[in-house]
Amino acid sequence: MQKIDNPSRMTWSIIMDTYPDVWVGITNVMWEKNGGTIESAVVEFTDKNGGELTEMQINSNGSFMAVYTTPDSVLQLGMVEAM
Amino acid sequence: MRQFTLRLDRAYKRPLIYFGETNIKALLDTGAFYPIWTQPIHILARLNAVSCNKRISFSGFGGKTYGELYTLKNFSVGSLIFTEMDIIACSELKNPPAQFIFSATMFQRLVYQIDDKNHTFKVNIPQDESNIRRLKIIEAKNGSFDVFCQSA
Repeated sequence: MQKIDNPSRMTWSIIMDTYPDVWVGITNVMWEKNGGTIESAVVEFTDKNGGELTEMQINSNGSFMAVYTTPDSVLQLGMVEAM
Repeated sequence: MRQFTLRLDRAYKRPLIYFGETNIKALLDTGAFYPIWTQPIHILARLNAVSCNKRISFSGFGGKTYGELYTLKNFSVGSLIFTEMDIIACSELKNPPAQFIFSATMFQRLVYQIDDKNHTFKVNIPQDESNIRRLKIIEAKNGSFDVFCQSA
């Protein structure tokens, strides 16, 4: 598993551009004033899957976050319904 | 009427929220019938989920797939507290954008507004509804599954 050496703070837009369409594990999250959008963070992991990172997030009680970088580009949803 | 507001992540075109103490991400999918957990099933146990030992098939624009039925205990979203919320765990979705997909059925009989201009998700709880809720996915006699969400 790749852990970023000497991780540094990046804005979320740069994180999305640098690591498109992957789950990233981030720490030291700073939020925009609206409270619902990540302003910047430190990327710690880039090649763990969503499950591994989500488990780390739950274990950390929120100090570590698992986020998919560019969810607008994947998985057309809607009408998830009964068969 | 009681109200709470969650913030949408304005970095995205679809309505995504972070919620709870651990800031887990959810996609608000008002076209969805079932709430979905998109990550490996064993992680659900950490979130007070218990297996119902039932397998469910469901469909979306991505086609037909299968999931396992679980019940989350004391699951909170904003001011809503689901004492029980049935959910389908399906880790076979390709590149899900969030750990949870929140369905329209979770907000039955509530008044909600997704405000993409101001990046808010506002939920009003009418006087005759409670913030304490229960969502059950029930198997009908013909083998299909229906969803019932009501004030507890």
